[in-house]
Amino acid sequence: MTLAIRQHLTRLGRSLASLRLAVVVLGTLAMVLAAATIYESKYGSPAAQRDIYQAAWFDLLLLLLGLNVVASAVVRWPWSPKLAGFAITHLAILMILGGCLSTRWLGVTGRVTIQEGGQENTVIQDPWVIRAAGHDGAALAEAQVPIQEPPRSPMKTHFSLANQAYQLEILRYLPDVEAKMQLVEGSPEDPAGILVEIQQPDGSDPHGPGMHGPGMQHWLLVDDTTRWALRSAGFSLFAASHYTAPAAPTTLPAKGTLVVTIDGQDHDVGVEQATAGPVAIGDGGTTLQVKEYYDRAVVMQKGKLREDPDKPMNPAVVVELTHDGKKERRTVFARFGDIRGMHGASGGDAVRLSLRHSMVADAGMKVVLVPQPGGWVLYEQKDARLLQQIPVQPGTPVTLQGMPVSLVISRQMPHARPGYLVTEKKDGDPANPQPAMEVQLTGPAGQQRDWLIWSQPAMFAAGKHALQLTFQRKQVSLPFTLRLDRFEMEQYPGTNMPAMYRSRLKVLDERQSEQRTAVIEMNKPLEYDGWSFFQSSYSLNGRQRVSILSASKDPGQPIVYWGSAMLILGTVIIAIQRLKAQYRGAAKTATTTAARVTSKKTVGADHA
Amino acid sequence: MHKYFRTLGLLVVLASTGAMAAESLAAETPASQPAWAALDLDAARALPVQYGGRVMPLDTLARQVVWQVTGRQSLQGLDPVRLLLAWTWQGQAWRDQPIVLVGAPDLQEKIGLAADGKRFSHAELVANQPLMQLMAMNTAADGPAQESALRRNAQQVGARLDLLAQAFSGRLIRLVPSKDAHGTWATVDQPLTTLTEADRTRVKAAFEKMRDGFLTANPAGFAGGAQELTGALAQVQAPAGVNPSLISLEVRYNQLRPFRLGWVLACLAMALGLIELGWPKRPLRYATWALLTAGFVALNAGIVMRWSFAGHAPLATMYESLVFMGWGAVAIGLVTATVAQLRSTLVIAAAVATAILILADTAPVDSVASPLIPVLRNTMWLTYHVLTIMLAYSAFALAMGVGHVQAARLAYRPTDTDRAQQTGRLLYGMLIVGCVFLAAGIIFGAVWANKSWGRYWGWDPKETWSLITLLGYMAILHGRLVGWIRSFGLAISSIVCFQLVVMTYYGVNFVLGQGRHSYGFSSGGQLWIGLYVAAETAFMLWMWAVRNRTPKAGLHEASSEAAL
Repeated sequence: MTLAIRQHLTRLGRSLASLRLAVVVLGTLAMVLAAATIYESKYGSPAAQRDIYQAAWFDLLLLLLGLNVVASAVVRWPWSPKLAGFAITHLAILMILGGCLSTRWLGVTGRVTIQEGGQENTVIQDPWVIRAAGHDGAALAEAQVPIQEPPRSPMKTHFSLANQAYQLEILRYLPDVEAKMQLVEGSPEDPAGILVEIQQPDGSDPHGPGMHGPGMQHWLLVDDTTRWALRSAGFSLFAASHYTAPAAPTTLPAKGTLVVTIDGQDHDVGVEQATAGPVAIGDGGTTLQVKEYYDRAVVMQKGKLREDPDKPMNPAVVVELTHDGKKERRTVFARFGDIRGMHGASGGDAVRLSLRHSMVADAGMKVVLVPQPGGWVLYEQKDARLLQQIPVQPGTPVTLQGMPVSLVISRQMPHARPGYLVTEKKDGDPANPQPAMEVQLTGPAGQQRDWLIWSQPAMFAAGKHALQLTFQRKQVSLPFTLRLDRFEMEQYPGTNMPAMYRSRLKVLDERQSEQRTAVIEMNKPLEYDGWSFFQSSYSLNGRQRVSILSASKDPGQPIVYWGSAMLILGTVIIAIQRLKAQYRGAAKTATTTAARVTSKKTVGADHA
Repeated sequence: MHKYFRTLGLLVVLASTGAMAAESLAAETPASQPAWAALDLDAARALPVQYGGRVMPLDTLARQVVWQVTGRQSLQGLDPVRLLLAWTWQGQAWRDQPIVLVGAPDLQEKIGLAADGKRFSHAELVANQPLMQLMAMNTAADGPAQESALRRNAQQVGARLDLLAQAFSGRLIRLVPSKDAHGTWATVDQPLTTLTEADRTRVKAAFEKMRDGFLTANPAGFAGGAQELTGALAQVQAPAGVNPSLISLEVRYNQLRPFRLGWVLACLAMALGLIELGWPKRPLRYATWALLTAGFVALNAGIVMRWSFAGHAPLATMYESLVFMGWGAVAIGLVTATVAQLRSTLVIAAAVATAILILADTAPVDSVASPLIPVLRNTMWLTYHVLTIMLAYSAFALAMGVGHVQAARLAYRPTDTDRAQQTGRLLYGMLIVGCVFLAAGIIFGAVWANKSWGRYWGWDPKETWSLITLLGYMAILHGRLVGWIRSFGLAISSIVCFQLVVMTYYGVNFVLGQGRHSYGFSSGGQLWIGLYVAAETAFMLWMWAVRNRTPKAGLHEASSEAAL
């Protein structure tokens, strides 16, 4: 029995070691690779990488080559000095194959994108993941769930975050979509939502100047008066759980009141009070000072405001806000809310501002829809006076009294929340697609089904705490930070032909006392802490130059390098041996031609 | 029988190389030469000008501009410098001359130009509305391939028109350095320059003297003006880093055309060697050696010259790498011929080198020495990688050449086993040398890729195809050890595997057009490559058929070297 097994093993080893197998594997590999390049030129590099170069069967083919190399070396043991070249070459091939595997399994490659003057410690890799992030009470936890590119659907994966197990199911994948935020069916605790259509009986533009086009639809969410409401100069339309009658012409101070919302907590600050000097808000060290105030603000270039007495009322303030040790300027309009990014700052969402102003609060038209059992009630109010109060059934138009338009509720949802309306794009820009997938997250506290749009975070409630899911590329954080001082592009004199790309950086490493200055050029990478950074590309973000570096950390590289050096050495030895043998053979031929010819004829006859 | 074939083969080779040589050397004879056609250009040629990102002699500028506008190295038998000066100073007279290359029958038909012409006048093309519309369209926009080819052709014509318009306006001859080392040089007429008032007057006067001498065909005025201009500019150009000896070296390179000289000498060596094969005489053999060595010297001289004035190893473009492939074929051939017993070694090497160098000289690839793109700078790996790869291709090309001889020999003279063995050894040696160089070249490329892209292997099509080539040759060598491939098989395989080299070298850039080796991308030549592959296929089938007709006995050789 054991003998039989041993015989089998010996036979298997011999066939693995055979030269015939080597030729077959070499030939097959060559043909597969040739087909792969054609596949690549037809379907693109990612497809070729996924379906061929990174596929398991391709690994098996390489493994077969490796086994063949190992076996052929083993059966020739013990190696005579004559076999030195053979041994070195075959060991070198093994080292290269092994090194490649360690590069693939242990290596990290990706891109680091840094703006001039900015800093970055995130390496963005190629593979797709769904990043799940959430709070477990205090600590922030994160998981990256690998996703095939493109994902197969339906497909289930599991991950755990903050000691809770989740199941993520990909229900549908679309390679390029148009995603529009709207209201979708929500869970029982969500408020009601409606789709309201504004119609004009006489065909004129119902909204007045500055508003959206005619015949428009708008989603309203109960008690959401900012995002899911319609607000514009002199007209507002929203849904609310109850209607408050207008107060007597107002008690608000002349310049209005700023409402500062920090972590869901509202704080009122009088504008006049905050103009005098910084006012502390809450007890978290947040302060606020009003720098500018306008009754009739007009926006100039670069986000600057100007007072224009000929324009309609448009109260606005520019404030300086200090929160979390960071100072930023924000512009707040009574009519439009907090305009983010007007000063170039990417103001966080931690603090929200709104301006309540007597001239705006109850001036103009205000239409409020309030849900009632079995329908809705519409309250129409103009200049702090209630014009009408009538019940509304979905599908039945109601004519407004203060304006020549009518409203109709065209859809209603008992429980609604913001979500995406996703439509597949067939003729989008292939270079810049927007993929999306519909997923269902099942956690210990329920499940939620929603769309994940590429790189747009979405909130999911399935566990004890809400999770933020993002469909994006895999990311790794560096243990240090790179700051880009300058990105330089050199051109050859008198032309626009690029001559050199150069990033001037600083390496900020908390573990080191000194900052290191580094210059990355083409063919001059930066090596730091096991990582290498290469100038890969650049882009222009307005006037800002953005340097794109490729980053890699590759434990397989030294193995491959040693293997390569040995491969060159081994092939040179073999070549010299062979060429010498040829030469010797040639010398022999000269003397023994006749004998050889005869012997060959015999061999030839055998074969024939 | 075989004598007849040898003579026939010799005649075919001689006739075809002769025809190609004649075509590439011949200049069109002019109908009537203008008066300035006889002026002495020596001083004018060496005027340093800024163009294409570097400082070059006027001679090189003129060659580039004439090549780019007309698609020919000279027009009406006129020296390019003469043409450029005439375009600059006699623009009006040239607007109606058919000098701008269109050369795309589809485009010509679409925009209503005569279908049989190749070149058209500036005036006619600029007035052509459909052409202008096509030029303005975005090439990248989607649409049928034919449409985008039309647009691409139209844009090429647009670039030629633009260049010619710059020549007409005198903006191409930029002689005066700028203050900033990276700045654009000025023409003599532009006001903002680094010149002092006195120098300006001198430079202007000299330039005008040269122009008037040219236009009035006054030899003394023209040459004198050019010399005065050189002298007047020398003081301002020297601080800008202009080295007059490199400039004159480049002029000499342009005049000498060492790479063309190289193949002419190799071609002569081949002819002489063929004669010597049929009529063995010692002096003939020495002469063959001498000619091929002279060709090698010419190639080396050309490489050194080009390296000096371009400031980087001439290994960056398709043209330069083809020259190195020819160089490698001669080098390996010369070394091998001293060792190999096969008498025809030298002839085969000369033939292969001639074919490669003629290809470099006549193929429509850019032979301009232009500055390096960023990824090729800062690194010696460019030299190591391209040089080893090219040496590998040279060895494989030689193996392919030897393979033809061997296949024919085994098919037509199966009894001459001695010769067959000698040839077989040479073939095997070439394959081994090629594999060593290719393996080293791929590894050097991987090291370089790791240094500049951050990964040593990424299955880029060029990488993949070079690996396929190596695997192909390795399969042959291992197959030979097993006994699956014998002498005839090895000969045929050396030809088949060379098609892999062609695919890697040409196909990836010109057919697949993908990957990161994008600096070599281009199009065209598919027809010629297709014809080559077809001819090789026909040759192999023919040899196979002939061989199968002959009785089998005595054909097989023991592969005595097989055992490890």
